[in-house]
Amino acid sequence: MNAATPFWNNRRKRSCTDAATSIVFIIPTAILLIAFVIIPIIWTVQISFNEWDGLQPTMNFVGLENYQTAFQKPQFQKSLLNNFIWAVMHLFFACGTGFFIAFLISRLKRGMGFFRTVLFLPNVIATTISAVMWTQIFNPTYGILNNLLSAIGLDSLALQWLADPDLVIYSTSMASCWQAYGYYMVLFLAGLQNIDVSLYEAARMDGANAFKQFIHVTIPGLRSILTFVISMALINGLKGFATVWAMTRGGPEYSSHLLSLFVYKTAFLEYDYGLASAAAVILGILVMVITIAFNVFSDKINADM
Amino acid sequence: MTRGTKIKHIHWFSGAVLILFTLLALIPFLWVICSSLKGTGEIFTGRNFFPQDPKFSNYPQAWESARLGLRFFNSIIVTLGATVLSLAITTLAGYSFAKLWLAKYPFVFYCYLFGMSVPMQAIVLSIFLQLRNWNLQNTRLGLIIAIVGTGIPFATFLMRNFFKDLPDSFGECAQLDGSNAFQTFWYVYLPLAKPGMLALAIFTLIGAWNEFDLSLVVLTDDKLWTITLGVTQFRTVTNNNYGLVFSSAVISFLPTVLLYCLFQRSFIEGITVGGEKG
Repeated sequence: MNAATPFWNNRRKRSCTDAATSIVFIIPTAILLIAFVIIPIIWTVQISFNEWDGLQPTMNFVGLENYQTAFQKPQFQKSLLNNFIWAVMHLFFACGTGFFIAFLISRLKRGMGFFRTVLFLPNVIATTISAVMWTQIFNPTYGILNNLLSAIGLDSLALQWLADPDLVIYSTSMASCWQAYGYYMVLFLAGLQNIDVSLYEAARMDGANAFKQFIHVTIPGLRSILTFVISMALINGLKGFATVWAMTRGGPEYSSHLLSLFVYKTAFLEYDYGLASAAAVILGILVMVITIAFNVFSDKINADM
Repeated sequence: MTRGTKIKHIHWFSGAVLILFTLLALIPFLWVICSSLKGTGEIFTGRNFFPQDPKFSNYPQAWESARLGLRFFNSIIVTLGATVLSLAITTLAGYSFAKLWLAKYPFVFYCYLFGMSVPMQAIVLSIFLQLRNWNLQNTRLGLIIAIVGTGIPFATFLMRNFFKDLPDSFGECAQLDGSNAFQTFWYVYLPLAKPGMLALAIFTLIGAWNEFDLSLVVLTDDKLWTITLGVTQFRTVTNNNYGLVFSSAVISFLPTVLLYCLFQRSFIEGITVGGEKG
C-alpha cells in the first residue's frame, strides 16, 4: 500500500491488494504442490485403470483388471502382509521403546542430556547407511550378532537373519526400529518435560501412587504427542523402502517385499506401470485411511475424557 | 524406609536399562569402525573385536573406489539446494496462510494439509513421469524440486503454525506506520520467525541429506548419485573387499555424526519443534 494514502480511505482497494499479495505469496509453493503432489495423484489413479509400459504414447484402458491382478499376485499378498508386520513392529519396538526410554530419562536427576544425545545418535545417520551397517551385523559368517551369540553359548540362536525367508522381515524391521526409536524418544521427552510438575505434586497430595500418577497425569499430558507419534509410526511402518532395498532388495525371492518395493520393481524393472500404479493407489489409500481413522479416533477419546 | 529402598531399586533398574540401550546404540558404530581397520581375512575370522594391526590404508582406498568425493559433492548440492528453495518459498506461503487474506479462507490451506497424508512412495512413479515431461529426469535440479515439492505440505504447515503464534498487532502497527504487505513481512515478522525457520532448515537438511526413495528413481546416472545411493553399491565397487565396505560406511556417516555432536542442541530442538508443531 502506498504510504501517502491513508488506509481508511481505501478499504475496498486495500482488501483487493490484500488478496493479491496473499495469493502471490503462495504461488511458488502452489506450482510445486500441483506439479509434484496433485497431478501425480491424478495420474497414478488414471494409470492404475490402464495397461501401460511407461513408454508408448497411448494407454490401453482395462478397468479394474490391474487391481484384480494385484490381489491375485503372491508377491503383492506377501507385500501387504509384510507391511502389516512392519507397522506393528514399528508401533511396538520403535514407538514403544521410544516412550519407555523417554519415561526413564525424564525421571533422571543427572545425565539426561547425555542419554538423550547418545540414544538419538542412530537417527541422524541416513537410513541406507544404517541398513548397510545392519547387513554386516546380521552377516552369518562374520557379523557381530552371531559371533556374540555363539560366544555366550547361544549357538542355536545364531540364525540366518537375512537369508531365512520367514525371518528376514523381522530382521529388517528391527534394524529400522533401532534407527527410528530415537526420534520418537526425543518427541516424548519434550512432551514429558512440558507437563506441569505441580500436577504430579497435586496428585501425590491426593494420595496417588506412581502408577496412578502415570495414568492420570503423564498419559493425558502426552495425548497430543502420542497421537502424532503413533500415527507417524504406523505410516513410517507402511513405507520403509530404503531399509529393505539396501539390505535385501526385497529378497530372498520376494520374502521381504513391502508395497513400496512392489511398486518400484513392477514399474521400473518389469515396466508394468498399470499394475504398479494400482498397488501405489492401494498403498496411498491404506496410509490415508490410517491417518484419518486415527485422528477421528483420538479426537473421540479426547472428547470423552 | 521401605519407600526409600523401593525408589533406589527403581533407580537401579532405570540406570541399567539406559546403559543397556546406550550400548545397543553405540556398539554397532564401534564395531563398524573397528572392522573398517581390518583386512578381509581378519573380518572373516570374526574372533577379535578390535583390529590387531589397524589398516588405515583402507580409508584412502575406500574413498577412491567408492567415489566418495563425488557422492559427497552431489549430496551437498542437493541438500543445500532443497533447503534454500524450501525455506524461501514456504516461509512466504506460511505467512500468507497465517497473516494475510488467505487466513480468512482456509480452504486452500486444507488442500495443502491433504497433501500431508499422501505418502510419497505412492506417487513416486508419476513424479518420475512429471520430471521426464519437463526434461528434468536424471538431473540434480529435478531431484531438488521433487524433494521440495513433496515436502511442501509439511513445511508450509510448520511455517504457518510459527507465524500464527506471532501476534497480529505487530503487523497492524506496522501498517499504521505505512509499511506495505511485503515490508511488514520482511521487517516485522520474518526476523521474529527465525527460530521457526531454523527448525524447518534442520528438518529439511536432515531429510534431504537422507533422501533415498526419490533419488533412486530420479538419478539413473551413476555420476549424479548421492551418498545414500552410493552406499547400496559398496560391495560391488569394492570387489567384495569387506574392509573397504566398512570404511566407506564410516566415511559416509562421519559428517552427519560430527555435525550432530557439534550442534546436538539445535538438532534436537529443531526435531522437537518440528514434531510438536506438526
